[in-house]
Amino acid sequence: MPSISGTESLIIELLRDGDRFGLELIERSGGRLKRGTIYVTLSRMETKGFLVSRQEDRPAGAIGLPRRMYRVTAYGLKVHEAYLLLREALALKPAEAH
Amino acid sequence: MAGVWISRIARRLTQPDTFDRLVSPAIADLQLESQRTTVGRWRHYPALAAVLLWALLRDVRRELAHVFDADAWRSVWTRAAAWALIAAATNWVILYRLIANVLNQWHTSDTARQTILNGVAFRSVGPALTVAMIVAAYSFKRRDAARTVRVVAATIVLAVTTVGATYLSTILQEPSRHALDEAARAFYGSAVEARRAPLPWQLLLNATSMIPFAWLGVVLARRRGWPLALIATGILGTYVWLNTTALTLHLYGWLASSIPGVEALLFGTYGVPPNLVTLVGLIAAWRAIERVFDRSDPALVR
Repeated sequence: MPSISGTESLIIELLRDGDRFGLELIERSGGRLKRGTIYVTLSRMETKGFLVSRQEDRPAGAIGLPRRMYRVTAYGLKVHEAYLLLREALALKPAEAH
Repeated sequence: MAGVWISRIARRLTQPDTFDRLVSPAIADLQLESQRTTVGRWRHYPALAAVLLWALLRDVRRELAHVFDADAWRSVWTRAAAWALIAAATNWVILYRLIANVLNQWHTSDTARQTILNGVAFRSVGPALTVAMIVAAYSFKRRDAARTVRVVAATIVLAVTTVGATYLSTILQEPSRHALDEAARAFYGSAVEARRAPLPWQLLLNATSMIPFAWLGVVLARRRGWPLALIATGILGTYVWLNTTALTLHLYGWLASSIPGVEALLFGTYGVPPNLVTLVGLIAAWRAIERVFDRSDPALVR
């Protein structure tokens, strides 16, 4: 049974419209993703099979380490959708809250 | 370029897979951010430290699982335990005879003599565990030549065990140590006089405790070389300076009376500075020997 956290779900949401690297995800999350934890979370998601990653293509002679681009897998999307459905199903409706 | 030295250190410390998937993306982002703003760059460093720490923990945890698998119990730990038992027994026999001889010369009373000799067994444990450390490390290296991290993980386990055992044995041998001090004081007139000339069994214990550091020195010199020797010297210098300052200001006495058990801990680790001197000396000696005979193996240098 796969498990997915709120942070992992947010990352999948941010990766829906294309490949991104870590810093880009932090910037797009509006402060919800932190620098100290995102790389660990991304690595864990890759182990779970929610994401795949590759090193970016770089021109010859470029300096510095190549960035790692992350892409969500079909399995990751499926688990994410199941998570959203479950969250919606468990959310209390105004009438039930009383 | 920002992050170059962090990258070098991380590459040496972590497994290639961990570096590629966990550490390298964080460094690449730091390098990108450093081109934009200085503030962003400095905000990235603590995050990088957290990632590196996590990566190291992940590697060690992964290796620890292999350090205690069924095959390791069969081919490594059983052998290490057997060697440790032999070493402990040999130590016990030698120390018992040496201390008994000294006590004969001091004309120590039978009661004090019995108390002192009862503590010999505890004194024999520490050096035996260091022998186990060496045997385990070599067995792991022979079994799985490419996995240095596994050897390091095994060494960490045994080092922690050794420190724990030394701590415990120091507490357990307290009556024996006290009786020995009393006997020495009775013979020499003052404890200070007795401490000026180290006894043969004390020299033997000190020499044995240096064996693992000697082994570590040789392995590190072959693999890491001078930068490590310089770092070790820096750490050693600071430690010795702090130690001397603490002794001069009588801080140890104050600590021992303020915090219960701290005296045993200090006693258990007091041999660290001389051992580090041995380590640095061995690194230097090994490098010199390699240069003379030109026998360095390029395959061993990462």
